[in-house]
Amino acid sequence: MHIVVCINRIPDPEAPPKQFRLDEASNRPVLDRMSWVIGPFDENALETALKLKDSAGARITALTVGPASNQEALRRALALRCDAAVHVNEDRALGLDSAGVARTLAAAIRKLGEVDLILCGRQVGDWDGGQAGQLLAEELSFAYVHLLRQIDSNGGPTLRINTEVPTGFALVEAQLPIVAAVTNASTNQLRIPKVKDVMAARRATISAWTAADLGLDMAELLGSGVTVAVRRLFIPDTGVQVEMIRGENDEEVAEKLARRILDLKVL
Amino acid sequence: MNFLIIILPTDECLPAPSAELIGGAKGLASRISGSVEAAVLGGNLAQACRDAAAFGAEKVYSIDHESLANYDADAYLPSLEAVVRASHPDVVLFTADAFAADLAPRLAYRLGTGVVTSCSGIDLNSEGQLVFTRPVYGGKAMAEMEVTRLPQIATVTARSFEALRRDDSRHAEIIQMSFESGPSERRIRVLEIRQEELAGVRLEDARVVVSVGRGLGEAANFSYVKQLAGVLGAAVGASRPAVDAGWVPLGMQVGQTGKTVAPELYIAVAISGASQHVAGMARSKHIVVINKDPEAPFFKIAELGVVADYRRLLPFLTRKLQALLVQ
Repeated sequence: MHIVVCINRIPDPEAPPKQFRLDEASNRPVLDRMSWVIGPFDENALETALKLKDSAGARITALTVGPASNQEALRRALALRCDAAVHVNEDRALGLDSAGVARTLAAAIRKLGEVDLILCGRQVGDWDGGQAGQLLAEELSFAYVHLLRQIDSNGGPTLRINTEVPTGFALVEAQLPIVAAVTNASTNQLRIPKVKDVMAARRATISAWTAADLGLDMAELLGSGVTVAVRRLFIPDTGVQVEMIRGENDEEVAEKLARRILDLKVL
Repeated sequence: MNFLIIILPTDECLPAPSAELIGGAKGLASRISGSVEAAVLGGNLAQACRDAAAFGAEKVYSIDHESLANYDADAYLPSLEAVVRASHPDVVLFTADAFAADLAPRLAYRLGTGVVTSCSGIDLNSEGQLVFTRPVYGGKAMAEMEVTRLPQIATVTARSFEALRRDDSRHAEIIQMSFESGPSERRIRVLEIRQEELAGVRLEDARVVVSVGRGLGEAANFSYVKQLAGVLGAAVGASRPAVDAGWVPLGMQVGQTGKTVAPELYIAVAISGASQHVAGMARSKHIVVINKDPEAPFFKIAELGVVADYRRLLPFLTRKLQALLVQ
């Protein structure tokens, strides 16, 4: 089985809000001083692929679209024993909408040849659009599985997949080839790479392609191909001033807090 | 400008977020003499269709079929395409739940247009164009977006708009449409759905919510929060780390990838206030934050804050509130 895992490199979503700034002129966040991570749900997708490789054997290709710095994410995927890494190296990819990202991913995957399973995170963790997997499935005419938690069994032409649905969980049987958007579960927290694999990954080859190599025209993807455009970014003003409740001891604080809560006239 | 609200009921009635969405669209449509229609898909829809009319939909399309019993987007998409062709809207709106997140981008693809997901607001700008506002970077920033093609599609989080008051004298033509089966081969078969049973007050309906986070420490400590919630008649929520740790079930998760709530009072216990969580509760009216870390970002959006170890504070707080409420 050939699995492609689509990964993104994003500013750490756990970073405190006070580190987050916008550049008003460019309408973009100031990203240079931020720490960068693989998207948290992309990590869950990576672990899902690695588990399937452990249990049933598979070849894993990690794929990313973005600037040169995205190679860091691919090095990490290689250190976790993904078999190959492909980088669609385009600085301007940061400006693509979900449709443009999906078209680029689809073109890269077609160039890879036979692919059975494509895993991506349910949403990227910066813009959280949550559309790439669905659009990729449409582009490639693959089956689409939404919110994969765990792959239960691998039965040849089908996979049994545990998913999240609005009222709980579902068990579905899906026909390969499949695109699945992976959500977080207790069973898919990403493992830590071994030191020797980290060293080996530094020297491993990453295939670097451009949009033009894939027969895509970036100017079109960023121009007439756009379906959703960003007009303005701003930092919301919460406009509240917190009233801190203090006291000599926990009991006194509790008493004051209880009275202030009652003052709100909700209870 | 014509709006079409897509409604996918989970039981016989109209879901509350769908009523809100009809109300929101009516507000926008009234400013530009537009119309608001609804499309209801699923099984056993008569009541939900009447509800949609009573909440303001001017025309209701109903597609009632046994194949729509399960969450299978492949079964829904051909019928959705058909109803969009029939209604010919400029704008298609879904409530932002997990199933809409699956359907809306794929519908957009098939219609050659785009979708803005998880909007918290929709407005008309001075040129009469729709502007969709949604949180980005985990709620640290907001983005105003535009869909450049028609129909413009969006999914909208619960509590973004107010429903109109129900009025059973409102009448709407209800049009029964046939189910479009599309390709006969099923790529996805749903073998089993396991409902998650959650005791107590439903999070989405609660006037008071008490939530816990990573700082809970262990599952056994959940009893502190349950007792406080019991005294207040509150629903219990949680942030993602508490769910990931297995301390509480997934159905309690509040946040960007969980439920969206907007109660009158939200009490956050041992939650740092990561924007992922805040995105699901920022519209709460009064926010109380209890955290032992004075630097916790949650204090920035709180109305009342206490720096304390919840294990020592909550027993006192529960008892005091109980005593005061009895009086």
